[in-house]
Parts: sequence; structure tokens; C-alpha cells
Amino acid sequence: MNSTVYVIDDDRMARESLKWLVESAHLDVAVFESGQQFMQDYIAGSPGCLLLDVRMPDINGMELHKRLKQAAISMPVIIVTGHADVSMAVRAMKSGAYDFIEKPYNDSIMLERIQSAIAYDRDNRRQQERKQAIQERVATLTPREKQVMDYVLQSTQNKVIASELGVSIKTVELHRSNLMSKMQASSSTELVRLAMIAELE
Amino acid sequence: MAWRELVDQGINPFTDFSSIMFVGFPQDRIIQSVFKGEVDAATVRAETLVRLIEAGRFKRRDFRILNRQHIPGHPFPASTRLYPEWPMATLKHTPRQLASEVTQALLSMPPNHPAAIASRTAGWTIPLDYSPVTELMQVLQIGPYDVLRQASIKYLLQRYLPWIISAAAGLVFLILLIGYISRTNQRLKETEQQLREEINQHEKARKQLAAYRDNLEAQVIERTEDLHTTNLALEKSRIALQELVSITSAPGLTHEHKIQRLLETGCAYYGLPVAVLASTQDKHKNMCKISGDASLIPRVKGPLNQRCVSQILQQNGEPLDIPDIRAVLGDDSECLRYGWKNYLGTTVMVEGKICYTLEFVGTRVRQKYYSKWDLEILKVMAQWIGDEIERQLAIESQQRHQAELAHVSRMSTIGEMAASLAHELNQPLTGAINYSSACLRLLREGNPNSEKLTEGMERAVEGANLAASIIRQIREFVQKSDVGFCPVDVNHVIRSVNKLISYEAQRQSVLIDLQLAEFIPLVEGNMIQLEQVVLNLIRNAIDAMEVVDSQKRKIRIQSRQCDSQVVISVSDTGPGLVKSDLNRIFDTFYTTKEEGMGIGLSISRSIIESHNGVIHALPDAQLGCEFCIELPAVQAG
Repeated sequence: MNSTVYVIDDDRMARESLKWLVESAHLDVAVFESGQQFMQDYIAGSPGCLLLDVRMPDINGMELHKRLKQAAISMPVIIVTGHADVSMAVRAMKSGAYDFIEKPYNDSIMLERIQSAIAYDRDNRRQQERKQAIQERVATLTPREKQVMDYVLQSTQNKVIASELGVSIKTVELHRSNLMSKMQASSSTELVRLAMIAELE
Repeated sequence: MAWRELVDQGINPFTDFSSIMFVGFPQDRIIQSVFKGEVDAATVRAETLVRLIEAGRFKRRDFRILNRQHIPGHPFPASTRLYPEWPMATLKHTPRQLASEVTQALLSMPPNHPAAIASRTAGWTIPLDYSPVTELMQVLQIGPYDVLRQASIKYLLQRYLPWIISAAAGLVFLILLIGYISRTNQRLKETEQQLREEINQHEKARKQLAAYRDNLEAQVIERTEDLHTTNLALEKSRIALQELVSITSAPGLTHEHKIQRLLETGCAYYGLPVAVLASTQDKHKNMCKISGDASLIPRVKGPLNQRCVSQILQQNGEPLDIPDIRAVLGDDSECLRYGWKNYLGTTVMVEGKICYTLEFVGTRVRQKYYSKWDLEILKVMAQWIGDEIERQLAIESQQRHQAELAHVSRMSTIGEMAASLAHELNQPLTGAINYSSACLRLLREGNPNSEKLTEGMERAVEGANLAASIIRQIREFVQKSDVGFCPVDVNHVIRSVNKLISYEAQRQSVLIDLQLAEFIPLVEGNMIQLEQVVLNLIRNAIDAMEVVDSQKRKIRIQSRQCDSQVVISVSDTGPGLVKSDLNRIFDTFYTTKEEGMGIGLSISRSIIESHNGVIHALPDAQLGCEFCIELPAVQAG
């Protein structure tokens, strides 16, 4: 699925010209007059990045950014503003905007930022997918296997796990080999790496 | 002798008795008087009464002896003491010689002398003792002792005090009376003198009057003629003055027209074909108004004749009247060339200084000078023109001042709106840049799609033009507008302002609702200044609504026609005005805003007033605040 650059600007000239610019860099563009319209039309999970004009009549850029976060639409957001003021830039960045760019902008800088945002989004999505796959594997584990995995991730020896859980060492070894195959980990080192990616506790 | 006894008893015979009679000899008559009751008492020789009683003529009991004395050896009853009988005596005026001779004769008379026998005496001798008589005279202060009575002032005073006092009082009264009378007299004399002088003067006046009366008839005829002439002149002057008043007070006339008409009136009044009003100062060199036949005038700038003007300037405000110009200027080439034969000119004062000259020339030699009246009218006319110019200068200076202030205010408005204007500019600029950049990319990639490129470039140009138009609009708004008026469409004003303010409004989430009348008459005005007023009102409304929920911020701008007025109203949904502010909001430096200067509305008002309109805040606006501007519509046709 190709990444799309979503442009939200109430000003026709700004919107259309940006579409042109982005298209000239061979990127897909979707333009929206307002945040509301974007929220209606956006298909969840579509990759890409958002270009938001800070000042718009119904919902302003900052407000929309906040709502997107609430709606768990995770896309890098580039805030575009006509009047650069430091406090707004700081607020934008603090609230998690990917970047902040001032009008009128240099086309190559704008495109570079867009590319970078798309790449960031792509990476992000890939990571997210891997994390999801690992979490799906974790979901197949039995509670006992999950318990044993937690001990393994803490580098606990089998006999210690056996005494902690009050089972025989043989039983622990069986659970361990099952969970290693379910998690598709060839070694405990790899298991730790997978756990880190999936951000398991 | 009786006097003395009376004095001894404290009786003054001359004052205490009702009357005294001296009957004289013979003494029988005295007794007779007492007996008859003619007197109450009498004094006689002691012997007399006794002798008469003895003779049987009276009876003793009919008489009473007063103050009876007991003198031993004396045969008769007596009332007084005894005195020697029959003395010799002289009167004061008796000559001494005669007295001495009589005395000697008497003393030497023998006892047998017939005279002695006839008098039944033994003759005359010197007295043995004459002291009782002397004493008597001493007491009574008579005879030789009369001196005593005169010398005694005290006695006199005592005796005559009431008389003296009354006499003195009388005297004083008399003196006063005399003084009063003499003063009155004096006055009378003065009055008389005055009267006499007056009478003289009257007389003189009467004579003069008579002489004058003799002269009068001739004068009356003469004067009547004069009066008639004067009347005609007066009537002419009155008409001219009326014309001047009607010109200067005509409301519809412009300054230029008024001056022109004043000059025409002057030409008509003096019967001269051309009038020139020219400035004497360098800075107004171009100020020159001509009325009448322009073919008689050498140049369109400056005064008619420099020589005459320099003469006028020396006349100290008095007009220069030349019936025959040749007699004064000689063969002046200008006069010859243009056929000037007479000249009339004066100075025009503006703000207390001679700034202009007013000149007339005619093509005929005049027989006489203009009358005093005519010259007065000329002065009045010059003053009127001066006043008119002065008023015009004042109006211009006020307009300049107001325009200056309005300009400063516009500059500051634009300054305050800088952020939103920058954004407004950024939009089309960004667009233009984006399109251009996109086209450049396509070109660099060797994309031959010229249609696409053309479209991109067209859009870029569109953006650039939009930016340019915004800049032009800002520049027009801040430029120093001249004060010239022209017909203006208020809808155009409102739309233009709306464009300028739209970003600012958007930024503040304010919705602007335009309700403009489809057909609206034009107004006479200055586009930029009217824009400024509307912009001020909208910005005030935006500021006022800061405290209101952003969903409810709305400005409604209406334009409509109301009779002969064009009305623009700007209303907002803000908190409205406090009643107490209502009267003061148009005051300079009065503001309810924290960062406000208090200039916007006061400038707005002076702008609207210079457009002959009114601006007011409606006190009964239901929600928020409403401002109304009323401007006179330009009459169709």
C-alpha cells in the first residue's frame, strides 16, 4: 500500500498548490478542506503523513492534531503555519508533531520533510507490524508457558524456575521448548530481542 | 427829696409806679389832685398842706402822711428828712458870668430891699450846712453826681441786661439777614448776568438762523438733488451688498464659484468689463481669478498692472481710482495694447496681511472719480473676498489636519494588523511558489506535458496576482489620500474592507455577515477614509467579542437606503456598550480597551462629519453593540 500525503487546508490556493508540489515529487496526495472532512474520509490504518494548516476556521491544526491522537490515528503530522511564532512551534512539537514548517517555504525543504515523515511512518508501521506479529505469538502461549517465558527472559535457570513454580525440572524444560517453538525463537537471546520489540514486560 | 425816701424803701419811682405826673406850682393843685383821686400819692412842701388845712380848704382827715418823720423842733409833719430851703442854683447851660453876677446881687441884697420885703425874707446868705442836699444828690446820683450813674457799667448791665441781650440778638439777626440778603443779591446779579449772555447768544443765534433761513431754500433744492443721487447710489449699493451676502451665504456654492460670483458682482456694480483677483505673495503665485472679458488681459497669472499694484500697496488699504489711466501712467504699452482707459483697484487682506489685489479696468475714460460710496463698496467687497479666502484656507487646513490624523491612524491600524496581513499575503505567495516549484520539477525531469506546465504556471501567476492585489490594497489604504471627494459606492467600500479584515476575523473565529442592499445610491466621499471608518468599526467589534464564546462571534454589516440617506450599520454579538460610555466613546483618547489609544472612533467621527454625515452608537441594540453611519446620498441627475 502506497503512502499518501494528506493535506488539510481551508485555503484553496494553498491546498491545491501543495497538491501540485507533492504530486510533482511523485507522491500520492489527498486534500481536505477541513479536519472534519478528513476525519470522515480517512480510512483507518492508511499510511502516509499529514500536512496541517495551523489556522483553520472550524477546527484549527493544533486541535485536530489532538483529536487524531485521541482517535489513535498515528501518522506523523507536519504543522504548516503562515505566521511563525515560537510559542506555537514549541506547543506543536510538545504535543508530538513530527515537524513544523513556516509559509512561504522552500519546496525542496518541504518535500524533504514530507519524504522523511513518510519514511518515519513506514518504519513505524513496519515496527508496529512486527510488534503485532510477536504479540500474536505471545497470545498463543498457555498461561504456564507465559509464566515460564517471563522467568526465561530474566535469565533464570531451569531448576530455579522448577523450584519457584513447584514443578519438576523436566516439566519446565517441556514448557520451555514449547514456548520457544511458538515464539519462533531459536535461542533465549532471540527470545529477549523479540520481547524487546514487542515491548513485553 | 421824696425820691430819696422811696429809694431808701427800695422803690424806683420811674419804674415801679404806673405813672408819675409833675403838676408844678402852685402846690395847691397837687393836693387838689390827691383829693380828687387823680393820683394815689403826692409830695409837697411840708408847710403847704398845713397852711391849706388852716385856711379851711381841706380837712385833715382826708389825707394820710406817708413815712412820717419825727424831727424834734420842727413844726410841720414831714415824710422826708429836712433840707435847707431855697438854695441858689444854676442850670448846666447857664453862663458862669451871669451866675456869678446873680449870686453877688442876691448876697448883697439888704433886708429892706423891696424884693426882700416882697418875698417876705431877710435876704440871701451862704448856707450853714448844705451837706444833706449834697448827700441827697450823691444817693440819687443826680446833679454833680450824675457822672456816677454814667460810669457804672455794672449798674447799667444790671439795669439794662435784658435790653442789651435783646438788642445784641437783634443786631446779630440783622447782620445775618443783611449777609443773606447780600448773598442772594450776588446770586441774583450772577443769574442776571448769565441770562443776559444767553439772551445775547439767543439773539445771535436767531440772527444766524434768520440768515440761514434765507439761504435754506436754495440749499433745499440743491440738497434734494443730492439726496436723490445719494439715494440712487445707496440703492445700488444695497443691491450690491445683498448680492454679496447672498453669494457668500449660499450653501451650495463652492469656494471657486463664490469668488467668481463676487468678481462678477464687482464688474456689474462698477460697469467695468473685467476683474482680476491676483495674489501678491510668491507662495500663492498661481492663485488668480479672472472674471469678465479675458481678451482684455495680458496674462493668466499675476496682477493686471504692476505699476498700479505697487501704488495700491502704498495706499494703506484705500482703493486706487484712476478715471483716466493715461493721465497717470502715460503711454504705458500694456494699456495701449489692451485698450485700458480707466482703472480701479484695492488690496485684499487675508489673516491680517495683504495677500491679494482686486483690480478692475475699463475701456472708456471716466468723467469723474467713483463716489465715496462706491469705494466703500469696493472695500467691503475686498474684505468679503478676503473672508471667503480665509474661510477656505481654514477649511483646507482643517481637512489637511484631519487627513493627516486619519493617515496616521490608518498606518497604525495596518501595523496592528500586520500579523494577519502577513498571513493573508503568505497564502497566495506560498501558492505561487508551490506551483512554480512544481513546474520546475516537472521541467527538470524532462516532462514534456506542456498543458500541465501551463496550468501550473497560470495558477502561479494567479497566486502572485492575488498577492499583488493585496499589497496594492494595503498600499492604497495607508497612502496619503488627497481630500478630494468623488461618488463612492458604499457596498464597494464594505466589500473591500471585508477582504482586508477577513483573515483577522477568521483568526478570531468571527463570522462576518454582509447584508448589502442590492441597489444603493452613491455618496459623495473619500473611498479610503470611508474604508477606514468601516474597518475601525469592524475591528472594534472583533475586539469586543474576544470575551464571547468563539461559536457566537458574529458581525453583521448592513447597507441600506433610508430616504435621502445611505445607512451603513455594523453590529456585533459582543457584550455591548455600558450606557455611561455611550456619550464618550467618540471622544479622543477615550477608550475601553486595555491597549486602545482612543483614536479610532474620534477619527471615524471627524471623517464622517467631513462627509456631512453622522455616526452614532445605537443604545438600544438588543445584542451586542451597533454602530450606524448615515451619509447623504448623491441626488440622482
